[in-house]
Amino acid sequence: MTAQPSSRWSLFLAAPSLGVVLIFVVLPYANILLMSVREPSTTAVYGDGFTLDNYLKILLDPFYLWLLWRTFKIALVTVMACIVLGYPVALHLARTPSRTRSMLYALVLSPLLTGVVVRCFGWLVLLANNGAVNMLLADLGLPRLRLVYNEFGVIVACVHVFLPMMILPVMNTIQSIDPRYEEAARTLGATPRQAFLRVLLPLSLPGVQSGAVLVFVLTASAYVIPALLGGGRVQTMPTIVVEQLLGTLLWPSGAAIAILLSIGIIVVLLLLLLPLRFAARGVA
Amino acid sequence: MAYLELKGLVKDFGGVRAIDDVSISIEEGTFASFLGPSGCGKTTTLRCVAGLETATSGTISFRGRDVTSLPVERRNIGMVFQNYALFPHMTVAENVAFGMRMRGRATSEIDRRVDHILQLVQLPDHRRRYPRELSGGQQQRVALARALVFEPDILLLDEPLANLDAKLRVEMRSFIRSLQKEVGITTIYVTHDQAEAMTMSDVVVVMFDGKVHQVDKPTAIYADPRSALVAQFIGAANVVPGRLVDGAFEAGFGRIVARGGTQRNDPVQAVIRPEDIVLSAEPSSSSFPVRIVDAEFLGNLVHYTVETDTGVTLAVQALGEQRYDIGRTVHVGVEGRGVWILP
Repeated sequence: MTAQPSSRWSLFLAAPSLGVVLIFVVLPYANILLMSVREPSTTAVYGDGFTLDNYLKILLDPFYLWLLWRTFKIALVTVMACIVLGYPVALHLARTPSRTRSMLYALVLSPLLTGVVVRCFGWLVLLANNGAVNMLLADLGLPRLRLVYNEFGVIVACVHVFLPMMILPVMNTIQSIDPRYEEAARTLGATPRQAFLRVLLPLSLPGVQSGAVLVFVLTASAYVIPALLGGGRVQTMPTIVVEQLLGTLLWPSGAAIAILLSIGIIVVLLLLLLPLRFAARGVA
Repeated sequence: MAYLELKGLVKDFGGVRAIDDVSISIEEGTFASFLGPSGCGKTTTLRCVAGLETATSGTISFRGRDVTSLPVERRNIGMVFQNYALFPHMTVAENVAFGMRMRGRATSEIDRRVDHILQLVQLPDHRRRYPRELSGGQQQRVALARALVFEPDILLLDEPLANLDAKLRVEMRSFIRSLQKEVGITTIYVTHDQAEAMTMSDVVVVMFDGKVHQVDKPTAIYADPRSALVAQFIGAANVVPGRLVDGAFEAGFGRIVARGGTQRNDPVQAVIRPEDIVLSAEPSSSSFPVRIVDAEFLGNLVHYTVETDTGVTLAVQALGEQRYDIGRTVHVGVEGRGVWILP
């Protein structure tokens, strides 16, 4: 037996997953790309001719650019909130002795056990104008707040739904950092706070980076959350795509918006990754 | 006054006693090794001195000042870890400068000192390298530089040579020792390697099962061990039961003049080093007969196993060629350090 499987063998072993990627990712994207350069039709999904009008119409319309900006703004605020809320949890989970750890870990994962739709309705019950939070505020004699059907409500639900995607990679990264780095910092005269800021935090940035990428992508492409908690008043790129496809039946136009959203996400991710990669330059 | 003093130090880890009533005092400028098998508590003792572990009871003092409850960062220690723990996101210069940065030293002073210490550890051209670009031996020297550059009161080394290959280990042994002498810093060196402890130290602290068995000069640890465990851990040793009669050790198969022990007729244990036993074909006044039961030829020396007529087996080490065949009867005498009676 050879230690390394031959490349033909490894290709054979990878075939199922390559097939899945091909069928469920590459082909649909190719289809959407194709659809986005076809002429609209009232009788079929798209007409016969090829055109770039779908793109031009979107790129020349400030509404769509504003929508793209809002989608990314919601995603970036969600990412930042997830870092602020998730990092301490991840740190605690990674550095806590084993007995309480598994319970906390289960708690972090527990939101994933419920569907997104159910959790969104949960937030509606809590945050609606007659919801639990506003009733409590009223009981305390405070004015009611508009907590849903606006960007705030969408961000709250996004943070809740995607927080585990931040906590898990950060926790894994911190767990893989040898605690002796912090000990070494302490022996060199660093207080616990300095040891954290100078050593653990920079070393854990790759985990924050993975988490930020995951949360950003998931939030920017989320449909259910803005649809439910926005209540039709918070349009984002994904909701407008669905509206074009199902509402106005403009499939080529919807496809073009989807492609532009994908390109936009890739551009933002590259911009996001640059400074973090620079900060973590010495980490193997 | 002792420079470093541990008094009745105890450390429990959830019901398991890692170190048990350790009391040691170490003089200024001393190179002291903590030697023992893994799990004997030597690293835990070092970590207590560093402040990385909090002792369950007992006290630690530097120059008469009690530091038992002082946090790590205020003890002014330099420590080298087994895996060096160099910060992977910082260059060599940044790693070395870290201790002085934490102490708020001026940039010009930091630069000057980093240059000086990197000269001292023979890595002057590696300032801008990252730790992962260095070999094990170079990382080791950066770790030493980082621990020494801010002039700590004491240097703590936790098995620093364990991750190096055999040849480099021997080189680093003398490098660390000469660096320590040059800087003149009081040093604690934790190791399970007796050769390291013997060659480098002024004082060796031998530990087993969380207890200190002996604190002595390397030569005394070897020649005059305080217990059978110490005798057998440091080098090879024949530990033979017998009696002490009129200053001579009597073991049934013969009488041998002995060192140590007090005049008494009680059962005692004697330590005889294999290289102190001499085999000869002819009997002499102080020899006794044995039979060769095994012989291993190692090139420069021969390891014999011999058996006395009372059934006691002894290990014997002889230089040169194998002169006696298995099964032959020869005569044994004890020379050199002779027989040491365990207290």
